Amino acid sequence: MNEKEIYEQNEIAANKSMAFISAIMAGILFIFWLLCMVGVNAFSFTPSTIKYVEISTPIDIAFLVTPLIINFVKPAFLKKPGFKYFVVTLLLLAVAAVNMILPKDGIMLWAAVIAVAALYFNPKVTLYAFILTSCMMLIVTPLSAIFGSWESNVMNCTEEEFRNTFNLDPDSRADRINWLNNFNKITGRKEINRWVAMFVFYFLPRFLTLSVIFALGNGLSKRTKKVLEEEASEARNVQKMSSELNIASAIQSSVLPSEFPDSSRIELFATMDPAKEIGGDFYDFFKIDDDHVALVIGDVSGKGVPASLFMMKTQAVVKALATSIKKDPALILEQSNKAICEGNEMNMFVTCWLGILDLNKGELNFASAGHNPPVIKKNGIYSYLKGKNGLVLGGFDGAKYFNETINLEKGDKLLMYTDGVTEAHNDKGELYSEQRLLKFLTEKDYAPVDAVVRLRESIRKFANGAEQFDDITMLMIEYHRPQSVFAKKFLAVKDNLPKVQDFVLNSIKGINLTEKDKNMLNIAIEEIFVNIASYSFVDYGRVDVGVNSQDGTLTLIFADNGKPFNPLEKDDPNIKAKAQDRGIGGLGIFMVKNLMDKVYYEYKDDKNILTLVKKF
Amino acid sequence: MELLKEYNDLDLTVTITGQIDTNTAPDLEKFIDKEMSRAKNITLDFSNVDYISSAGLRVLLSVYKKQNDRKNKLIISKANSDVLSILEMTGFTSFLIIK
Repeated sequence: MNEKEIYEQNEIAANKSMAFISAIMAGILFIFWLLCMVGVNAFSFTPSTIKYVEISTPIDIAFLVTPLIINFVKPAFLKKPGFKYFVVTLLLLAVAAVNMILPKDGIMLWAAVIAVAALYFNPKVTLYAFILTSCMMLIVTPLSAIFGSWESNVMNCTEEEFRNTFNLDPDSRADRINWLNNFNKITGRKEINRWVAMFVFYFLPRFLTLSVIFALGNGLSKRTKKVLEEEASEARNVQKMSSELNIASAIQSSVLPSEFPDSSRIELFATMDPAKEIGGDFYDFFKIDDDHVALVIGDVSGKGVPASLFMMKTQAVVKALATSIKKDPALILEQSNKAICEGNEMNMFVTCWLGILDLNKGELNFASAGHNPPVIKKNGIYSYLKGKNGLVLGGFDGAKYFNETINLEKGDKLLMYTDGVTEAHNDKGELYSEQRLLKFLTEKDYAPVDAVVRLRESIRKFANGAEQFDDITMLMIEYHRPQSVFAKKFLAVKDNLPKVQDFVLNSIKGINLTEKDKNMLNIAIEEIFVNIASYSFVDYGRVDVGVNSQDGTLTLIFADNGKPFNPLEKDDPNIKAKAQDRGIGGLGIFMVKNLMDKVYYEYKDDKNILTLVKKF
Repeated sequence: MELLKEYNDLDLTVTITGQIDTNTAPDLEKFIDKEMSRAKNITLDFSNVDYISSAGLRVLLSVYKKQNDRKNKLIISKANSDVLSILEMTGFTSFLIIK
């Protein structure tokens, strides 16, 4: 909400209050009028005054309820800027009318108008009220001397004296005017003109009182206006900053992948905990191809929205280059650096560690741009994976980076992290440190999800309430065995042969096949599969094809639930026989026996199971 | 699989490009059968073949038998080592003329 709206809201509220105050005053006047009508003369009015009261009071009441009526009938008027002056004027007119007949008792009412006008917190309105009130008071004071109830200060004598001493009728307007005009003549005293005296001794003191009230009211108005302004401005800033922070934080967390692949070959978990002010940490993981995954972690210098924007640029650049260059981390970092240095007016820089893991072989190639070395668990021992470090990205175009390699085996782990972890500090100013991190990981072995969560908790406990200055980012992987077993069902029809062959070849992992190997394998698959498709089933059946490639040995399994048939039972064709005597039967299985190292058959669970084994 | 025929007098050379497998072997057989009445000696150029399964071998056997009956030759030319190993393994090299 901006300042203007705050004032507008306040003004409408004040208008409503004024309308209600006026209405209450109207109510009081009504009771007063009723009493007068009934004959209760509390103010010892003269009969003519009572007549005046009887006529004017309803008019005053009408003035005073008008704002409230407008409030209910046409509330839109309350929004108009002129309404506040209107309602103040009405109130003042009513007060003037009352003070006309009750000059002495009505003094508080004059002041009340100014005080109530302060509700608007608007110096202009307060000033208007003050000026108008002063003018009205100036007019009404002499009129009240003529028409109002007896005011001994104005008339300079009591009503008794007036009646008795001067033989003038207090109820007579003419007598009163006469008295005021000819005071000296009537009393014989040498005194200043009654009108002047009225002004000096009656009006001026009250005017002074009004001024004081005006000053108070005005001061209050100004002060409140200032407070409102400050509040509005602060509210605006807080809102702006918090929405800025929210946007930045949402952007930052939206680019960090959260879908953790559940591959049998690698287990992975990561978190990024931003500090109070947006930082520039990031992590990334993505597949470069079926068998390679890229792991990235980085930390931008600085904080705030510029750092997080720079972070996003870096992450995007590294991902794009890694996806196209694929398997050379040092080259990827070199090219990323070039792209990041371009247009880096603010001389920001970012540390980055990039690893590319071959999921089948376990080979990890990595390069580092000024980033802290990850922790690696190898052969059951945790240590820091140090390598030759290149310069941070964004330093200068042409910086060089260096490839390192390490081989992971089943159960090996890698923890990538940013310095928010090792430099987390506690209330005593101590740092979490690399030693503590190593100690934590060594103490008990956990799967990546547990390890990361517990590590985060360990840091929080260590911090002991101290403020987190830096983003805390961690990415942990555990390397499992490469996936080696694949199985798929196929409809046993000849047309599916190419699909079966493709499936088998694609499922072979960790074995380098020559073209000849592939052709021979395909021939063997053809012989078996076409056999099953042609003979096993009356109509159609299904074949389960299983592939297991481990440690250089390939095992193929064909299982069908067609009629029991052992192809190995058939005699081998006599390959030495003369051509005319050659039969065509048994040739296929014979070829398979020669192409593979071992062939087994068993009939189990209503299935023909044929197993082919070949060592490469 | 692509098949190209070329005559040198009455001697037919069929150049085969691609795999000779359970799907393509019948096409090869049909192709040769069409020329049978016209051709004398038949040479199958295997320079662009790297795959032959039992279905292909059956076709070779069938063609050989027909040629033999008509006192004509069947020659396999320019087979690569992979194909040759198949032909050897199955004893086909004992009666086919390999060039």
